[in-house]
Amino acid sequence: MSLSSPAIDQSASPRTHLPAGVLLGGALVVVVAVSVVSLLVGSRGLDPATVWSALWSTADAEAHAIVVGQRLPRTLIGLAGGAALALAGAVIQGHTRNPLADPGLLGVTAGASLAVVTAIVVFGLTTPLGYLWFAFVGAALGTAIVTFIGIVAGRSRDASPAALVLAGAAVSAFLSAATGIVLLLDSTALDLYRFWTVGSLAGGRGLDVLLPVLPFIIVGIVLALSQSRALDVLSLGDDVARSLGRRLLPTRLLGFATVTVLVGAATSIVGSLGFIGLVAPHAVRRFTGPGHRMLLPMSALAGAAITVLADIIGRLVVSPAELPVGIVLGVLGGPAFLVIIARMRAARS
Amino acid sequence: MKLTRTPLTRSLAAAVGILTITALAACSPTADSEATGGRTVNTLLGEVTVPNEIESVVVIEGRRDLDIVLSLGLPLAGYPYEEEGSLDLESPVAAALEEAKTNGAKELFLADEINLEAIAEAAPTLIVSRVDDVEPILDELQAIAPVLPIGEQDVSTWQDDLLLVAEATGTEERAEELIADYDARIEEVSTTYATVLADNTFAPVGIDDEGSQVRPNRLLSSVLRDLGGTPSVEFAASIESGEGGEFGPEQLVNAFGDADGIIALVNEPTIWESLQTDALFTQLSAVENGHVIRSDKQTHEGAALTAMHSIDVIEELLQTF
Repeated sequence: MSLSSPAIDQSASPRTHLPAGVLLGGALVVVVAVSVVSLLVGSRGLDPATVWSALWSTADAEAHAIVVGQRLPRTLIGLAGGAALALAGAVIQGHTRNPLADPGLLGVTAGASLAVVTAIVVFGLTTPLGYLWFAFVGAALGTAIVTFIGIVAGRSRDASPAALVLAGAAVSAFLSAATGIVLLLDSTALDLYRFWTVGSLAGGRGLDVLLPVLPFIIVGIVLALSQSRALDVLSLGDDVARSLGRRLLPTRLLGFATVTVLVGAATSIVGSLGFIGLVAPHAVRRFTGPGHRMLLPMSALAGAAITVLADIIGRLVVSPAELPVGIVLGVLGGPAFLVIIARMRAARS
Repeated sequence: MKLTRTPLTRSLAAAVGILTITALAACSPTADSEATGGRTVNTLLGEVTVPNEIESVVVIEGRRDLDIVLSLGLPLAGYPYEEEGSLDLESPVAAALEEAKTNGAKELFLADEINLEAIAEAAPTLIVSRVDDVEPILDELQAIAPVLPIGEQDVSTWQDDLLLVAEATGTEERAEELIADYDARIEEVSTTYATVLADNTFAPVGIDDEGSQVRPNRLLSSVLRDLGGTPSVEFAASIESGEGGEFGPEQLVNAFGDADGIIALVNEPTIWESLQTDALFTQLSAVENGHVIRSDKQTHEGAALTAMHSIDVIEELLQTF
């Protein structure tokens, strides 16, 4: 079975030669720094001492409610959701050997969106916790369609990355159209869905939303990290992987199951965030090289940091109102996507 | 033969659409209204002549225009509707609208999704609506019936618009009666609760997922001002500036913590439910002391019926003191 072309340059080496510990340590420092800024920044000005006191419940009730009730949950949700989506992006890029693969671009997120809308409209669910299983089912549907396209594309001997991206765009368009139809039939759900679909870390999401989803994200992360060696072997091509004793179908099914768990869990808490799964792996690949042992954890850390950073930007640019993190990521991710395309063309030529 | 989209076919489709509307309009009793004379009034879009006999009226925006037509007792033929179940609080015009429906008023299109063919099909004698809604499609609407444009909260008072429509439809007496009733009720409530209104501060606060806001010219805000309620700091600032104030989710207590009484304008019941346990909302002194009452966007705009309903809402709040 062949799913795509070997578009990721496996001979590429990292531009830096930093030890793994330094890379991971540096990424962790960035994540912590961004998280601290996230706790300090908001429409209500609070000095660092007040924020610190609020974290330990020694500040006044308002500061405590803002820091512990709003900024801390949105930071943790952003970290978890961003890490999960970025990791899912790295995994799906590895399995499809397609540098343009991304849960959003390939319709997996759109599948989760359709399922969430169905949950709102048909079953009257209104909380992220209620969406959870629907997001999982939708993500699985999207993954199944992508898998099918991958198999068909592999058989056709013309599975270029562009073809797969176009097919993914078509799947996204189809699922989005279905979502639109459902919303047209019940426009009262539009307000509720609107906030979810743009991707947001606010809107009353608290730790009670994160905690039930966290085990799934942890399982997804463990599953993803356990596939680093398999992804390295797959990156050599299906024939080589097969000759090395790798059973392709179970390996890929495990990969897509991992993507489903990660995307389903992430979208249920942060909504339909685009581009993070595409941008984060590319942002770290230049430091880590193509090897998945470093690429996967670094992608997760980068995804966490980028998502929280986008949320901070969203809080500042139209203050005191806020831009949902999904909109900020879309604005930043669009140009990033074009840069990736340009670099790929330059590399080929 | 396979049909393809060409400029010619598009032009033909447009022509057929216009002919359909014109043909439906020709069936309307207003087609010869100018020939039979009528009342001429000055509006925001110039002079409008309205037939002497008003047999049916269509409203397009569905708030102030609907309220005015219902309160004046004009024969409502069609109106825009809100999706069923979109708002859980009862509309201020619910009773009057129900009566109009029994007399033949029909839902024409979803609010904000104007359907010209549906309006033409209703064959009204008169169209009444907000100027912003009718201006872009004035020619098409005038092909159906005379169009009476009215203002909105930032353009004119509901009393002005009520009197305008009354003048155009020969219902001045009813309009004066409605305004007098409103003034009398304002006088009654402001007298009864004079001390509460003077000794406490109030704010009508819109709250949603994206934060909170206060607007000085929403109908309920205007009624609160007519009652003489002392505004909270941010409400007073918005009155002073004439513009609304918007606040992020974290700023709720900072913005409205000084208000002794709050009318929370919350559209969605799920948000209202979540506010009951929200750490910031429950810190508002008005909430802590039980001086909070809920309304929704249905009191943002309207005329006599909505204004009287708004007084009831505010009186309910005043009774908590």
